[in-house]
Amino acid sequence: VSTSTISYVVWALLGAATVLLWALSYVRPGSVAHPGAAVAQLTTRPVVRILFVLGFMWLGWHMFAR
Amino acid sequence: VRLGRAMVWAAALGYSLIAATTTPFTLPADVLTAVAIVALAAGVAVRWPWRPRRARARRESSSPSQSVSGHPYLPWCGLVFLLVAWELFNYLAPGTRAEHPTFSSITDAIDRFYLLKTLLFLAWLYLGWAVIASGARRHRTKAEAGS
Repeated sequence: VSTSTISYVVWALLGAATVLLWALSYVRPGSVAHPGAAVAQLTTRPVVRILFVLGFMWLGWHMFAR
Repeated sequence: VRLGRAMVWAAALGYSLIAATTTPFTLPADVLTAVAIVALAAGVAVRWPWRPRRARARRESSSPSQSVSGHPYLPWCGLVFLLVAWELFNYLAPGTRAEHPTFSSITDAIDRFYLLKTLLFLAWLYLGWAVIASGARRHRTKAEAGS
């Protein structure tokens, strides 16, 4: 098994974990917060919410413009 | 409301279809991405409260009908930690980018396909809208909404 394959498998597992948590947030909302609630909680802190939005803007710029 | 929502979706899809035709490091790509970023910034400035209150968010995020056990945010914190750690490992690991692909190199591969790039741009727009909506949700309390 090549290093590249292992790297992509780990990325795929992380992607699957994201989808799994998203699904669990609907099935067991007491155990896993919904992504929207997590973002809402995160953005209650003034500095964190500014950093979060700036990070999101940077992500778009990095992916599509750079 | 449905018609309005459909029009917003259609506009976002149209914008994504146009944005996906651009090439990174060119003026059209810069302009089309910048317009979306400015719209996000404007949405945040207009719809988010200037003085967020942790207590209010906590009260609103926990519905009385759902029993919260443990720390519902902990799984997300763990996942974000793993994602950042894996990204940094791949970025810093010696070797070629093909051996250690980063999030950027994966999205670069996706961007080579017009339809996938369109979907990626649309997903980014949608997440931007979701971020604005999440921050704005607590702007109106239940009492305010009822009055």
